[in-house]
Amino acid sequence: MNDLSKEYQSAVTKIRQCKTEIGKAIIGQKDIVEQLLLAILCDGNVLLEGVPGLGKTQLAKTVSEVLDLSFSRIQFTPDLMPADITGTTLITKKDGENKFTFEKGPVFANLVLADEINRATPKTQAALLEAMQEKTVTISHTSYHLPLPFLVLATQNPIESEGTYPLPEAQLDRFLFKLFVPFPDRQELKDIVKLTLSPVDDLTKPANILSAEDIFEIRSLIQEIPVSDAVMDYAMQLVLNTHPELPDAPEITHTYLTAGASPRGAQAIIRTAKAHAMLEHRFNVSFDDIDYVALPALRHRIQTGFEAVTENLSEDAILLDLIEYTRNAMKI
Amino acid sequence: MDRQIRIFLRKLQRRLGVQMAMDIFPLFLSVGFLIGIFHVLPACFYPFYYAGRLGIFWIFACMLCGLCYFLFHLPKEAEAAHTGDAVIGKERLLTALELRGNDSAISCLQKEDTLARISSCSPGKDFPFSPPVKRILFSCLACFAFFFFLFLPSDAKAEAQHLKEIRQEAKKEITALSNLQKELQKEKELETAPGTEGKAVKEPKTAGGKLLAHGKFEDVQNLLEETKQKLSSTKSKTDLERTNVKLLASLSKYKEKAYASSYDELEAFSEVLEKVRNIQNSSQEHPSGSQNGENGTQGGSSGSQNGENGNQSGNPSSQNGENGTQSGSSGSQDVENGNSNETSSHQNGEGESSGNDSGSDTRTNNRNHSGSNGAGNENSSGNGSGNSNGSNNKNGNASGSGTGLGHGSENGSGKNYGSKQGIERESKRNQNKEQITIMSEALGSEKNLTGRASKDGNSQTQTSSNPPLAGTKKDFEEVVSEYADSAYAALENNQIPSSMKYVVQNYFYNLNS
Repeated sequence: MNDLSKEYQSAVTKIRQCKTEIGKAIIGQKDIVEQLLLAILCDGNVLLEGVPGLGKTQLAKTVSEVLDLSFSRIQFTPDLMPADITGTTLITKKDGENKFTFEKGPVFANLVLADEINRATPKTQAALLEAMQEKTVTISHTSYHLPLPFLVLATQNPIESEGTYPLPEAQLDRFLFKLFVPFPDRQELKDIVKLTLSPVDDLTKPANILSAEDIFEIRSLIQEIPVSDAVMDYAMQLVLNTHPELPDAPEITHTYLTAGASPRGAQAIIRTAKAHAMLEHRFNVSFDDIDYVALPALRHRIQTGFEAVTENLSEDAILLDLIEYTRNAMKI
Repeated sequence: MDRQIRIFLRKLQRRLGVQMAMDIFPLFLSVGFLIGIFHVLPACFYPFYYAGRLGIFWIFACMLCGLCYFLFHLPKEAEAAHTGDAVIGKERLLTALELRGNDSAISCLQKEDTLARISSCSPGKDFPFSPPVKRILFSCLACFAFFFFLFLPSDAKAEAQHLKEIRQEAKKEITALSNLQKELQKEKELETAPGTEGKAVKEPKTAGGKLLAHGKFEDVQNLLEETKQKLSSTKSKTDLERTNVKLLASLSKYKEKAYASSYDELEAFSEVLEKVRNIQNSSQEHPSGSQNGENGTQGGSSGSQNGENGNQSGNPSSQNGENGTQSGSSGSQDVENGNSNETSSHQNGEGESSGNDSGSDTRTNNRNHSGSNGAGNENSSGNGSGNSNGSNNKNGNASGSGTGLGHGSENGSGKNYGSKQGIERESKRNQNKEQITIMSEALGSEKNLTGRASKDGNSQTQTSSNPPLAGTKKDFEEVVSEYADSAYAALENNQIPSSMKYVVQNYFYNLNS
């Protein structure tokens, strides 16, 4: 028991160190960093949404350095082909013979940054689907395993809609979290400018804290954390309340939503809640953990209707109302 | 670790239970008192409804409901854990409760973490009671209001209570009459038991059998049934008494007719009459309410007949001397003084009054004397207050079954067979002086008796100087029968209460037997 306790203590310490290290290169965005780490520790993919220039690419790079993960970046453009992502077979001469050899694409990395994923065609977007879900790539009847841990960090620009291809629900559902990268405030902006325009200092370079093995160990520790029935019921009820076709759903769901979260949403909530509990040095999941992870886990899994658009009601606002409604209904 | 967590949870459960009791019991009590108020409040203004006991019943019923609700909704462990997590935080207790019995490493870690938090927590300090002050105050107010209206005296309430008592009395009588009916039925069945056909008809020995033999069984049963129905719809004391008197009168009438026909029948009716009288007397012996005269007291269950200055109290009959007070609830078997009804059962001496609500003594002073000299009959009757005096010069025997100083003056050497009707007593509202006369011959010389002066200080004396006449001898049976005939004729022709008629009839019957 003491060993386990030490393991937990060590894991928590390391994660906190990771946060600190990432904070050296990324100014502000503490919640984004924490949620990103949670997603990585829960073996999930993350969709980052924010205006250009907020450091999304820098964040991915920094995270990969801190976690000692191989990093590759794919800039999605409208002319990008699936083979550009997964790789292709090429005829090469080897040992005096012409052979087909598979040239791995940029997807073969631990951390793949899919920049502006909504710019590529749906065909190209779909090429990433198998990689994200199965962690394999199949080329000419041959499946190639991706290096583990494998994580896709996709970004998209919320402003430009011309020439973009919104991600289909099936692909959106495969992202564990959707995170909104906020614009920095004055002080943060000042710090960003100071940091980026000053000479490169070794001290500001993030150190490597965790390795792939550490990540696997932490994942196994996270999975053991118990969840009480009451907390589980709360999470499930929250997911069910997003479905307008159910008669017991609240009025706000019937009015503003056209589709609710899938069971992947419930899985995402519980998995990441456990990780959050561990980060808070607890050995059980609480209602507050569920509330913390509910927004990033569900905001991309629900579909708003015309009424929400006309009333300028965001998914987060609807989810916050649903959280309050569920708490009151279950007398939490 | 599980045990420590359980102990903590149990402490929390108890605290939650006490808090729940504090929250719900005042509520249920308030409801009970409010319902009770609806039962007692109307009687303060309207006489038709009063149900103090029902109000109290509702209070206890609501308390019982509160207790049942409390027992069925006792806080469970999960609820206590949820409450505890408000202080300990982050659903630690709830998870520890679910991990009870689980010995995995992570479970133990979780329980250790929970215990560390519990150790720094005190149920008494961190979970203080919050008494629902408003509810408690409201229930106290409702309680006060209920008892205020319950004990608030009012004429309407007294009247409603009186009505209730009358109904209870009537109910008792109905039950007793039903038992009598069953008894008669049983006797009838015994007399007509199967297997007796063809055998020599034996003489019926029971009242039921005798009535059946003379074809009067159904009549008596119907009479009792009618009486029961009337009693069930009785709404006042007068109704009750009237019904009782009517029953006695009807039975007496039957008996009178039976007197001339058959001894068996007469005996049967006598027995039934006696039983009915016992029923009426027993219900009057333990009346629901007290009937006290103004200055009188209500006594025990048997009356006594005292002399001149004696006090007599009780039921059913009481007979007072001059200075006595009488309070009672039924008629007296007092020839001398006639009936005393329940509502005005007082016989006062000259200067004393006691009484109940209304005086409705109906006494008749009849003296029918028939003697060998045939002095004639004197009939005087009067109702209400007043004296009826008469003097007869006769030879005959006069006898009365009462003592005390009767009002009828009989001057003569013989006996007067007749009823010496007593002085009609007044209600307390009408206090006339009582006149006393003495047979001068009987006592030898005239004497003035001293009595207690009336309240107004007046007194009156009157003497008669008529000497008695010598009488002739006659057969006893002839005299008795003549007197009986005269008496019965007088009973028929005058308004005499049925119970008094019975007295007369019984008197002659006893003489004959």
